Amino acid sequence: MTILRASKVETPTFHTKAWLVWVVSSVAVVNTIENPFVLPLVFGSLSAVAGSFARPGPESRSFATLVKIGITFTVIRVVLFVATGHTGVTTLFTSPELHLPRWLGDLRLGGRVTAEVAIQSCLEGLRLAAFLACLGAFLSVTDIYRVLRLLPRFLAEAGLVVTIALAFVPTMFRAAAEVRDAQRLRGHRVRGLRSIVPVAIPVLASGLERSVTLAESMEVRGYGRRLEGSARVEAWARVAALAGAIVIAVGSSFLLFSRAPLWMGASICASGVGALGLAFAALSRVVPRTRMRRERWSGWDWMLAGCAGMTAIGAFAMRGLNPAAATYYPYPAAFWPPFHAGVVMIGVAISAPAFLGAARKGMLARADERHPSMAPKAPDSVGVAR
Amino acid sequence: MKRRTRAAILVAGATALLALGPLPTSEASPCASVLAAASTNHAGLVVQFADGSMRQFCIPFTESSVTGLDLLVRSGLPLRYQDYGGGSVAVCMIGGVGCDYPSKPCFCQCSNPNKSCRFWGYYVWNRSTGAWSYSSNGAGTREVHNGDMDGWRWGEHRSPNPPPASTFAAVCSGSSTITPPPSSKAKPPKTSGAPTSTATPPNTSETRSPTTVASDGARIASSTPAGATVSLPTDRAISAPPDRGGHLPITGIAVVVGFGVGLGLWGARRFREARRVPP
Repeated sequence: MTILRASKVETPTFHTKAWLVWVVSSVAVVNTIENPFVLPLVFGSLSAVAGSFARPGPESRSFATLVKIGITFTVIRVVLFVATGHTGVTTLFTSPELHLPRWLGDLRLGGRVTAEVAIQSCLEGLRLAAFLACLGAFLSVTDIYRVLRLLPRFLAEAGLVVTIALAFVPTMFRAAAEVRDAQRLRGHRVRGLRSIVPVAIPVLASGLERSVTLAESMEVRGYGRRLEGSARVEAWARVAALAGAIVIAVGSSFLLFSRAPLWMGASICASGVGALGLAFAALSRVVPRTRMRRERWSGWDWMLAGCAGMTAIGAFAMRGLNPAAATYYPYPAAFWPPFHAGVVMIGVAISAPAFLGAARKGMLARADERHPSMAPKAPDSVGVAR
Repeated sequence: MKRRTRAAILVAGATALLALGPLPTSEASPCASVLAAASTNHAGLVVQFADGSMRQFCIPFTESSVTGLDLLVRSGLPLRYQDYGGGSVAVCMIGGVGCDYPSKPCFCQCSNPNKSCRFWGYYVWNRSTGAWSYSSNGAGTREVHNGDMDGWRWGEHRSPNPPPASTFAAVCSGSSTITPPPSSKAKPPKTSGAPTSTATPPNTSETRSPTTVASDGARIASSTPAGATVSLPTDRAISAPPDRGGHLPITGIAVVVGFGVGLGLWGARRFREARRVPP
């Protein structure tokens, strides 16, 4: 009985901005801590988070998909690097060598295969895979449309276009599944490449139909509409934005490449940023758009953002204060990476949302048991606009 | 799908483990075997440090050619370099002078474009003109043949700033400066006729025949201007970069794999639970 009850309460998710903080800090950890000991922890933590907040839709599959893509990249990378790079002193084995001519890149294929090249290429590949896994976990647990709603108002139309483009893939998946089921009901055996035609053609047809419907509905809802008399404001704002961007480019090149004093480049950059900000504010004012169904930022979101921020600060501090423990580079001679408890703490801290979510779910379940009717609505923390 | 997720996580863990896989604890340098075999080829190596002191090496090798990086590695000088894959490298630190990559960037003294930019400049010796010139290749892709010579110098290199002029003959003339690495594992060569005691450094007497070097050197010396020989190098106490690594961290591996696999399996189970509920 209690099991049935508990399973009724879904794990409540967090505010999209809290998730954004979390994914940025996770990527920061992957980027700053190069100690290989962090990698299994990062993958494990991301799996725990993606699993804890998984929903039945196809979006939740993105974590597994991106991890698989990352592992594939890693394997390809190791093979290519081992075949072409022969630096390092620890020879694993020697294979026949093929020296390509100069016009083919002057590469030496095969030959001495060293442990250093294998280790380094594998670690770099896995670091890339971990980065993809962070992205996959973020896509699995958040609603991408809510993420796009965080854009400033004048970018709302661009955001809408991106939303539609993003919706394309899951919609295709769903349409393909529907068509496959329908064909199966008709007695068609769906298997492998041979059934591509009976599945793909209906999917394409429905996709075209859907896009026409979408365009009509956007037209009806006034896509691209502006306030009366806003054309001049908009034109000036665009000119100001362009000027601001150019000024920023000039200022940063002053900062980077010239011997001019620092304050000069900095002030040029600042004026460019100011112009850009004014232009964006003006552009936002002419877009008549309000937000509906805002998300509520609760104490749990504060806790998640705090955990994520502390994780990132910890990672940066470790990189700065103890670079020997935070980095690992096998060249010129491979060695065992140093083990450091801080690495373990940082790696496990990425799984904070999973533990916070479990705690919150437990509280909700207990409240539900005490007062079944009074239990707060858990799964969707969306409130009405204030 | 869920089984595959778990499999993917396990694969990730296993790959990470493989990455940490069995490493030989001894850093047997390849020159050990090279020295043991009859080495037929020689290349010179001149390294000039920040304080102007120099080290010269005459490196024997049996291959028809080695890379410039191989030459540096076989000199036995402690080394740090950044590898870009495909054989291209940037040398960051030689003999404790330079940038301790990866704790610092490889070109750590070039971070401010307005100030000086110091790094290990790579020069190759031209046999016909007898002069140093910028190497057009990186150390990892430059091919060093018998009678070639490489030069490294720490400093600014906006205009060519090579080590002092020298000749292959001077470096490889069999004088006391010919000091290939004090390789710990090198066995005395069996090829030489005269029995030698094991205490003898394997490189001073047997590995090269003085006559070959002399004739070789004479041939080269004839084509170089007289007086191009270098002043006697001052030997420098080489400071090794900070020690890294050590023994196999069994506890660390156990802790990390335990946490990682545990969290991963927890996530996979929760994923399966969530997907079982109909939408």
